[in-house]
Amino acid sequence: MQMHLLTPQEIAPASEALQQTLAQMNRMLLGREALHRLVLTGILARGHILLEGLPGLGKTALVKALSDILRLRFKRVQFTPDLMPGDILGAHILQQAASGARELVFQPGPVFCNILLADEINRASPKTQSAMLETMQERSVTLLGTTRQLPLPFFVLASQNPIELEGTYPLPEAQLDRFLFRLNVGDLPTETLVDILTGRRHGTVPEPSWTLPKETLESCFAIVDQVVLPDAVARWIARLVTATHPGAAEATPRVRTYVRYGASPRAAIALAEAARAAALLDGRPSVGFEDVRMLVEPVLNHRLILNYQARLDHVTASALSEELASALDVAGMRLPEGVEVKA
Amino acid sequence: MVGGNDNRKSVLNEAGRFRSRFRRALVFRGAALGALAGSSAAGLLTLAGRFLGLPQAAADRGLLLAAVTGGSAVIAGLAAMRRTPPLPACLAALDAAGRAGGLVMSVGLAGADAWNPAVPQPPRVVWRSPRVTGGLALSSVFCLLVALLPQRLFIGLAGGGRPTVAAVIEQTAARVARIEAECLLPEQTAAAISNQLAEISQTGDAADPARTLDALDHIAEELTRAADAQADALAEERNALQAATALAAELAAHLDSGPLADTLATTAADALAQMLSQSPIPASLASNLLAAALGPDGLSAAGLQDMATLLREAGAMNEARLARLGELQRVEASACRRSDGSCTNAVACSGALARLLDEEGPAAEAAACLAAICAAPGSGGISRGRGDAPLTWTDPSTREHAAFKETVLSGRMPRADEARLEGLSAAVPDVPDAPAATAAGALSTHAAAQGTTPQVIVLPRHRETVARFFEP
Repeated sequence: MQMHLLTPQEIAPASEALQQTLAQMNRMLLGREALHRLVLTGILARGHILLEGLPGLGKTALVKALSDILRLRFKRVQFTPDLMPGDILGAHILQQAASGARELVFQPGPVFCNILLADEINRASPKTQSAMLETMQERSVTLLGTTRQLPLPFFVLASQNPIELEGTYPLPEAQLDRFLFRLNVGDLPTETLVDILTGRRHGTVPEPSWTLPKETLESCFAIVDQVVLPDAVARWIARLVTATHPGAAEATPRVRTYVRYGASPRAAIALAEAARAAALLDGRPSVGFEDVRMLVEPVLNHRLILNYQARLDHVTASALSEELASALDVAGMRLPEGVEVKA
Repeated sequence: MVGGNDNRKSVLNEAGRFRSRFRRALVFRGAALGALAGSSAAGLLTLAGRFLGLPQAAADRGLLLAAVTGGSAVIAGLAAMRRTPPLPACLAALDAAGRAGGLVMSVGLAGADAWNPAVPQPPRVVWRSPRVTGGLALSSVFCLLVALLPQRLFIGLAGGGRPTVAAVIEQTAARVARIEAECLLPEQTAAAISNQLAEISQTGDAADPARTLDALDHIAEELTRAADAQADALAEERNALQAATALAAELAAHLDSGPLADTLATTAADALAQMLSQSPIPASLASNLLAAALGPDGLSAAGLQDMATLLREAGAMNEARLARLGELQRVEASACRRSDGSCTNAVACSGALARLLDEEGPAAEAAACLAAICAAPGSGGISRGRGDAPLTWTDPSTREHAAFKETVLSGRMPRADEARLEGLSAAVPDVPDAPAATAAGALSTHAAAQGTTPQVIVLPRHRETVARFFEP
């Protein structure tokens, strides 16, 4: 297939709309510019996002603000240990029709929405967590042999508390792999807190002054699909993901030491899609290495399974993935020993 | 902002520049590695050649090292060029360096003209390898040392001039065997030397090789002395044969001009017989010569011609035996009669040594070293340690000249197992029955006489040790 670059005229409307969205997010939620950019990148890539952070840092507010700006149907489910799959997916209930006949009628659960906030997802039982697998991957729900499509676009933005681990069920690897990003919601700087305290009574998030029409969002999705991924970038992504495996030829010594299992091909696909979205957000028709480099950590940090040695040495998957991106030569020139390319 | 085509050309030009830089770095690295490998290999080869004593001038060695090193560098540099990255990889590197967001890589795609990305500067390609650089420096120093150090150092290091005792025995035995086989020495002398050698080879002690080597030196000296005596005898015989040949030729000339008077012929025959009998020619040869000269009819020209022929044959044999003695290198310089310049015994003959120094070319340096070693005082030969070491005939002593002098104990001394402790004393032991032991023993406080080995007094701090030794 002959590839061609989108023209600036084709890119500009989508890029401007996305910049406007980003500006609205930054206006509504203070001090989270980088996080907002990543979340919007994830939404553009049609991926699910796992937000990790302590309570009170604005995870729920972020998701709600996003749904307000995008004018998407938003549902929130507080995950608890006694939450059952039917509580999320929906269930068949016995109803009496006008004719008097009784029949099982499907009552959709909260998952039938555009943006589902799965709050404290790791508090639900594995059975309930597993119920999310099909919805996240296939964007459909199958009950009693009937498959029902979820409304598009459909995103799961889940949150989990990284410190209160008592009474939680760690997410299985299969489910973690379905999240495009795992984003760490960190602390806010003092100046931002001062702005929140002085500008917002009770921390109320203001209403958006501009919203993104659904048609524009769909056109953005279409344009993302046309962003060119150059061969060299695709090759670098493939090498990166391959190098996360300890037995790979290009794996760094620290990867060989600390990683038990590397990232899956789904990680490579996720990285490529997210990089396309990042390029569009930047107003470009092609993906560059810097787009990939920016997304390596959020894409790979929950996909690398480290060994106990890493835990003992306090080595994190984030650090390893960033080191890998720095160590791997982008052009794949297999630089001989001692040869360096300096910009 | 430039036009689309111009922009594409600029991008491709910059990618080409980057490619050239990369290739240059690769060639430089490859050449350095090649030079390192080549110089190391050439240095080792040259070193081996020098140990083996292969003739080679310093300039030739330098040329060899430079040629091998340079050739390796060129070949490795050319081979390294094959790793030059393709153009797409260069475009990718250019894109990454300029953070162009993929636009530089997509410069060849349709629609790229509308974007016109800023053409980034090609990144620098740097090669740094302390290991290779250090290795190259070490290799260069190694090559310089191998090329420039004098040959005598390599001969000394090789250790080839230090044969084992067994090798010396074998060498001497071979020489004696050849002398015996060619009857160059009197049979009794050769047999005696051969017996001595057989005895040494049987009784040679590895724990004391110096003793065996001394005995071998003695045999070699005996062999040389016998060969010298034989050479002197052969030389006198040669002179006698030459005189007889001259006399026979003179007489033959007279007889050719006319017959001699009877009395004169008788006198000449008597004189000839007397000369032959008194000459050092073997008696059997002399009688044969005389019989050939006189013949049944007395002294005749034909007989004298026959005698001259026999004399020349005997002279040739004499010369041949002298030459064999010379080839076996057992003739001292004083006995070398080969003044015609054909002597090759450079060890013994100064004339031969001088010719060797003049004519041997590259080996002259080694020969000069050899001559210097042989000429130095105390020289025991090139296999016996330093030639300039002083000759000592006393017991070896330490640097401080501290050594115990051997003392023959008196036969009246009691046996150790029959001895009994009389008491301990810090003073000199009093042994009234063995005055000799106290007079020259280790505990004596006598000062050493001039020229003898100094004696050491047992110091008070050692007396404790001596006392403990005698404790039951």
